[in-house]
Amino acid sequence: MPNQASEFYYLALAGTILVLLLMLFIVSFFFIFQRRQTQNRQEKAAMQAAFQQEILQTQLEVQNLTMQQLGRELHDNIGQLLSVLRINLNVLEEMVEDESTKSQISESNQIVEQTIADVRALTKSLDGDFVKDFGLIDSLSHELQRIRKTRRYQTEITISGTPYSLGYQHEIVLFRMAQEVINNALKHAAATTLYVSVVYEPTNFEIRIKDNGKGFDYEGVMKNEFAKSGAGLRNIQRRAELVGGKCIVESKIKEGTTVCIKIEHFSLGS
Amino acid sequence: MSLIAFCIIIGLYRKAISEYTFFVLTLLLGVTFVVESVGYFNLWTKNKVAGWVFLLFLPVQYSLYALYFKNIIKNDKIKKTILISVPVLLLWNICNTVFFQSFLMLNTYAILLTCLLYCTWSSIYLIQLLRGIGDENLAHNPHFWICTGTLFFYSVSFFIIAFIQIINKEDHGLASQLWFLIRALNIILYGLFAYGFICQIKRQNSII
Repeated sequence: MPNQASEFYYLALAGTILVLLLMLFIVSFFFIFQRRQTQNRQEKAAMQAAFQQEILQTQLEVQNLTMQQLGRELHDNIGQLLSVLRINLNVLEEMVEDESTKSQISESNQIVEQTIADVRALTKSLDGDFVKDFGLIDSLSHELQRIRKTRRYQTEITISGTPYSLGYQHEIVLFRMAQEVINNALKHAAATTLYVSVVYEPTNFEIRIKDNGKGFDYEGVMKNEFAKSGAGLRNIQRRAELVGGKCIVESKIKEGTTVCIKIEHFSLGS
Repeated sequence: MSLIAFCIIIGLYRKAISEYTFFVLTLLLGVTFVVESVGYFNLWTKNKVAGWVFLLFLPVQYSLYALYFKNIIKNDKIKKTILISVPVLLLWNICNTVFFQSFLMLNTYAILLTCLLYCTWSSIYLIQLLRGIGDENLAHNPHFWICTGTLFFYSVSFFIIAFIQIINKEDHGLASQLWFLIRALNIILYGLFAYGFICQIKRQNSII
């Protein structure tokens, strides 16, 4: 009997050890699997983010190139034609003796002159190299000045802190974003006044563009009407992420819109 | 036995059997149920293990298991190896019966080879799971439970069967106790099989 009891004891012990071993195996396997799965998900997310970033980068490059080409065409073709037109008008003005016709030609000449100036300004605005050569602040000021010259809009720019270079890659993205925000304000919001403030802080950088337009339901656009609109805003937000920043939009119907593009300076190196 | 019967009942459930691998497994369990019944009947009436039943059962069991592993393992080379291993095992079983162990003895040499092969194929599947990680929940993967059960059962069985003849000569009582241990292992194996079948039904439901 005692022999049988000890055998049973050993058997129970062996059985317990077996079950424990099985459990240990399953738990270890689950642990390794989970760890690998998490790692896999992280890798996938990183790859997706990198892919998105690459797409956005390409999109920006293409946009920049198209704008530059458009600017060059305006400058070389339309600009030249307008200059020739202006010369012709000058010649005509000298040839004509009738005072009233002369005054009309002079007026036309002035319009052409204004158009040439506008085309030149537009060329600069489209040309990305302008940002490279003169920096973000000058480019923004130039852009606002161009809008102000139309006499339909009022613009204002304020700069706080000591300006520093964010690097061409970042500055061109920020400039194009600001251009799009301004364009949206003029085109969709029917704004008449634009306030732009640029804040340079040792650790942060911020561009705030405020308009007095009709405003919109921001939450609604971002949530409910995904398919219809909001693509432009999302695009701006993605671009902000591309330069390691974020874009905050505040808008209320009939109270205008404020778009704030904020980036932390220390993340610019990335 | 009741666990095997339970697995067969779940296996016969329309949604589980709709997948080929589970059809094969249900067939395997059906054959196992018949063989175990004959074995137990023989043990009960003649008080000895019916070696000839297991001798005939082994190639059938291995063929069905091989078919199962062939379907769940993705690597083509391993699939071919699994297919090749079926006639090899059959040949070894015949050779063993003719030259080493008689028709009436338990064909332990052939069983040992199948144990090794089952462990290998199960391990390969588990490694495949670790390598090709997707978003699926491991706890709901039926093949994980079935392969874990197979790996665990046959790795322990390998050692028990390897030494059972020697132990049987030295201490018959201990040998019979070890058979009891195999029965306990059987419970674990078919318990995991049953859970695997339940997972399969859940999986099929989620697909539908």
